[in-house]
Amino acid sequence: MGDVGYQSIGYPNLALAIGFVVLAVVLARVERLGLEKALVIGSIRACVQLMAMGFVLVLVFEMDRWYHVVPVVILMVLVGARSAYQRVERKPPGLQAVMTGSIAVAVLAVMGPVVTVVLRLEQWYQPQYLIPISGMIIGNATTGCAVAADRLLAELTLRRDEVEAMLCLGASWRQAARASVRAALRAGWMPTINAITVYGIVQLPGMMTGQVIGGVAPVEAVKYQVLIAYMLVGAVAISSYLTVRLACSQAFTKAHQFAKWVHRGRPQETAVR
Amino acid sequence: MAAFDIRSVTKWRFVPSGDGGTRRVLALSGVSLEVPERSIMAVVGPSGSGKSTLLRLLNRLEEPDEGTIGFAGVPLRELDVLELRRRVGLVQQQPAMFAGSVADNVAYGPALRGEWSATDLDRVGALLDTVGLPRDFAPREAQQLSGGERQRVAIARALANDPEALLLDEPTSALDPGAARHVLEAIRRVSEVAGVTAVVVSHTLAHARAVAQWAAILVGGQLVEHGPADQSLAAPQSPQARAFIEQAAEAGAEAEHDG
Repeated sequence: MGDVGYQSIGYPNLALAIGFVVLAVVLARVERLGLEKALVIGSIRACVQLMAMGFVLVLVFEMDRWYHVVPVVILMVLVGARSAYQRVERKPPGLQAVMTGSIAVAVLAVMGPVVTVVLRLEQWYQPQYLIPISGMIIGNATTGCAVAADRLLAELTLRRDEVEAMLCLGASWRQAARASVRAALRAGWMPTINAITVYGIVQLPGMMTGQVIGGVAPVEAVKYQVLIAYMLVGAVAISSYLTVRLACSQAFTKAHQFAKWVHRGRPQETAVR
Repeated sequence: MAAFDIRSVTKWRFVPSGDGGTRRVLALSGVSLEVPERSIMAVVGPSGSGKSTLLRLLNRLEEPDEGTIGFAGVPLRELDVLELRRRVGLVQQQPAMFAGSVADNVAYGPALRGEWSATDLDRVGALLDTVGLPRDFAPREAQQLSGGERQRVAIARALANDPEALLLDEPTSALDPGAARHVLEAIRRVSEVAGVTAVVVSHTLAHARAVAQWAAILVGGQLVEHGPADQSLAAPQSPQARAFIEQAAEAGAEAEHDG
């Protein structure tokens, strides 16, 4: 990085930015949007949460033992899986464990080669690299898993007659669920594909913006961002694939029937008279 | 010999309760019934009497909570379930058509097992003959067909597996009288030509009488009458069966009157 510094912000100067929030509150009041309270609370929360995270990062970045850094990553995986789980409307049994495992495998599979082969870090657990990159991967994997699992159940319910017609003709549950699995994976992967497709055109991704402001030469920042984009694709693909496969197997029995909980959650058909 | 041997079968079902949850109701209660081989049995009864549930147990789409079911002398649980479903076809009430042509639909089962595919137009055509559809239906988009045509494609699709038995859930309920006649004709032909045992769920007595040699009457999940169709459907012994038959006869007369 060397001689190119960045412009430090003083706290009084930062306070001036509150003026933007005040402007929004005044607009909300005039237009009777009823959003004043939400604006104030949101602004205060953003400040407090980020400050807290700043102090945590100071501590984390000072960590110089792998057994300090790895638990932080594990905690991030657990929190991510929890949030993915909560975003799914109809939950197969064991979904939280499935999502935790899927995201953990994705983090290992993507971080492992990158840390050892691509970045060639002196110490593989250097928190300045491991923590933010894991964070981005986990964030995207979380969204992918939640969207894919949600879509899988919606498809299986919607296509229930078609799936059962296939089962009735001797198809295995894997064969009968193929179209639903495909739709779920497409839905899970699309947000990430869409995001990286407009990188550099519509959007300068957060990490790159940060690095550039921090004084990193743009070309170096770009290389990092390309690396991140490809890692996100891999992580989302792996985690949502595992989640959908495992969740789908929970939707059927060994005898190639819909599991009872799938039947139970759907509206009972009323006879056609 | 009996094709299906149903013994003391009980099945609970979950239905939505008023408060947004689900509650357990008895769909079938201690049902014992033998379906003779190479015959057509009609299962009749009021809506919600467990008819469709019974069919879903016969090809193991669902399991009974109590009791056993045998097919051709072997308990269902001892058979490979995918092989059982090849041997026992089930045609849904309003059959889902798969994306693709009529031929794709008809050849679905054999193609799964790598036996033959939709390009085998002789086989597809022969099956369309059996269900009374013109052979030039083969390339048509299956999801564009009318209700009666779908019903017959679904029967052809089940027959493509060369089954020993066919389970039909209300095959005529959504059809106009002309289409219903074609479907009933197809069922009769399948039983006679292919020697397939058929279990036909119906709530229309006239249709049951038109095809079945045997009849079973389910009321509230209990088997209240079974025997030769001409006796059981005309002069049933049990009071519940008599009440259902009278009611159904009135409803049938009304429907005919309404046109």
